[in-house]
Amino acid sequence: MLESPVARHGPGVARINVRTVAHEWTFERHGFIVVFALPATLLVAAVYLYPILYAFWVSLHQTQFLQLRQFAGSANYLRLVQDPTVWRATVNSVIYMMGSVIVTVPLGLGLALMLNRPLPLMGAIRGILIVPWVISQAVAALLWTWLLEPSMGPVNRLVEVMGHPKVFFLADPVLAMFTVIVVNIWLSYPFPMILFLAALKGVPPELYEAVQLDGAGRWATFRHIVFPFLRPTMLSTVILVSLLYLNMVALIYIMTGGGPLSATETLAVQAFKRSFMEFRIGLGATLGTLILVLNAVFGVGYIRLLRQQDETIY
Amino acid sequence: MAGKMTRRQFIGRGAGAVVLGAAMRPRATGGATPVTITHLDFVTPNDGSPRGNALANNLKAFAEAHPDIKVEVQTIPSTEIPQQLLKSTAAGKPPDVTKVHLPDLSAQVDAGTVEALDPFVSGWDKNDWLIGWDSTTIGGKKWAIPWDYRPTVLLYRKKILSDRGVAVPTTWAEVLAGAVKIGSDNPIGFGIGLSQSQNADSLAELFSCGMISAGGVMFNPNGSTAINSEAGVMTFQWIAELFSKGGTSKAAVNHTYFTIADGLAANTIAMTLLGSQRVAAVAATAKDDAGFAPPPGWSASKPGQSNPLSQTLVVSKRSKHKEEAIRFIEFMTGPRAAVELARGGEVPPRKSSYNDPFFATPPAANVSRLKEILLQRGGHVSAYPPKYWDLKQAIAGAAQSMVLQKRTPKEVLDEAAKKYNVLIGA
Repeated sequence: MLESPVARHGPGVARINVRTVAHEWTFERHGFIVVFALPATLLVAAVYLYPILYAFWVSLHQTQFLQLRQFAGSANYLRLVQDPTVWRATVNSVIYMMGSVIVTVPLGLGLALMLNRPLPLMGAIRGILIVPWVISQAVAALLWTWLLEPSMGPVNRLVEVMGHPKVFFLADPVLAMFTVIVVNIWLSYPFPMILFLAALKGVPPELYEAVQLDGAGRWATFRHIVFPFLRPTMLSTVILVSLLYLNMVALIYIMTGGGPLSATETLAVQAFKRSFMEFRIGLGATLGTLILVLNAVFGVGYIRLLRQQDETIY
Repeated sequence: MAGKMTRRQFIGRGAGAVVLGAAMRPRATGGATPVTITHLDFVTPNDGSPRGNALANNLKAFAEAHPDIKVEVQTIPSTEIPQQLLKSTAAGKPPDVTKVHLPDLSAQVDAGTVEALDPFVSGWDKNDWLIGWDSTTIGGKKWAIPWDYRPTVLLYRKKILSDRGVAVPTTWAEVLAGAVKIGSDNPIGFGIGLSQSQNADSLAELFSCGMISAGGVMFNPNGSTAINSEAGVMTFQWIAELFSKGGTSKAAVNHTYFTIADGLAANTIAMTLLGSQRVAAVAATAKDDAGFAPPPGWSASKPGQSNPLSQTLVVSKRSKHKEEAIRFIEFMTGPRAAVELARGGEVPPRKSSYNDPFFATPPAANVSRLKEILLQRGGHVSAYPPKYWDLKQAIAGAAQSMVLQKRTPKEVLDEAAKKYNVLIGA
């Protein structure tokens, strides 16, 4: 970053350069970029774009099991808009996503700051902290279902030893949502932690030395040195984990099946159930499109925030 | 020079040798190159479980009896088989033979993934089956061959019952009283699962068993559901009392078929109603402490009726080896495979299988008893509709609502029945 034109010459110079380069684009000079980018672009189109377009096409049809029947236009969309369970699942998705993000990101940041300091047994601590990330959602769901099981789970045994009555973590509608969020936080905090740690390694040590010479305390160092460096990472992390949580199925489905009383049924879980349990693939694809729109809203928000940030910095 | 070949001679003799070799090579149709068929199953051969070992032994026996057919087994969880069959059919690469749970069969027929078997099985003995030949007939066509039968039975842990002075119950009232006496926590008196995951099978089996024991039916002649009938309400009332009187844990709201079976094996559940296939699985852990009995009735004078389910074998419509697939099915459901099947804890489907001397020996005692329960208490649900999964979900949702929101059985069952009937347009 420090080697970029912006760092060397300031933002004004960088902007002029970009515009100049844009005006001077010729195939002879830059055609190789197209040639090199084409295979990857085609691959991405095949892997991502085609399924998205096909899912949208399916959502416009009546379906029987996995087969397309007659064109239905917006009928599936209208049906879902009128379905109260879809609205409830949307609210559940937002609760699940927000509840997870507001803990996962600060937790990941805190742990990254801790790991960025010289500590004894750093390798072992780092290894232990990263373990949840290498566990699959399905395994984590089964593990926590057992841990929280009221009859034989160790968590409730601990609760009893502490003199409290048993807690039915997954049998109460409110508590079940809280529980799957906590398990999700446990499962996914290493992701922001790793991203933040990588970003922290990019902070030039001389900056720390400079602020220390100026007499800045820990908070001032974090606020004026560390945080500006972490901002781009923080924004992208928030968006990435938000999208991850919006699309999450296995963890919730295995732990609760979307219940009790549909309290943990998110849009992604509902899309899965409609597509592969009820075999109403048209409605499932419609829900998938709805999730895509939500993802896009967050994606666009991410890009706008980054642009605003660029303007603020430069 | 003598003994030396010219180039022309070498080429000529070489070509002759190639032609001779080709002519002498055994023909593929003669059986030297076996046809490979794929079999989609939820049992993993040789996984160390009784049924895994049984499948492995039967596959080996089939390979010896039919060297011209090679079987490749694909294993996935049982709850994923319906979607896998649909997806692989849509992708043009379905397995040749698939194990399909009886309640899921009609959906596969509706989806057009399976082949009607009538032309292939016209010579089979239709009276050689413990349950009528028509149990896997839909719309007048035969779609599947039962691989096993699994009557619902009351499974229990003998020591828990004897320690609490609870006799093995024969009526629903006795089950409730015994469960309340044992309590709701470690061990749980009666294991029940209201979760909608794993196809909501736990509650569906108990509910259908309770309903038919009360003389009810799951479906009306026009296809609409009758779960909100008097029999259904009576069964739900029993469930409500089981929770309110402390015969089960509140955690049961999130319990599934598998967690209940595991709880019984782990001695944290005293009694439950499950399919007979679980008898051997529980006994593998609990040994002699595992007991089973016929399903309870609503009164002492009216024995409870079991709702026998079945895993069936189907042939994919797009299979390129249907004849071989049928030969595989015939073997796996026939007398030769039955002994291994019984060793794995399953109830073999054909009457003639029980002529084998093995079934008169102690290791076959449980299976023979389960067969008798099947024959004596085999009241069963009529044909399962394609949207049965939705009905099971509605029943589980209704039970959760009744328990957590304290609503009446009639109220929640009316709501569930309406939801299902609207869905099917009845």
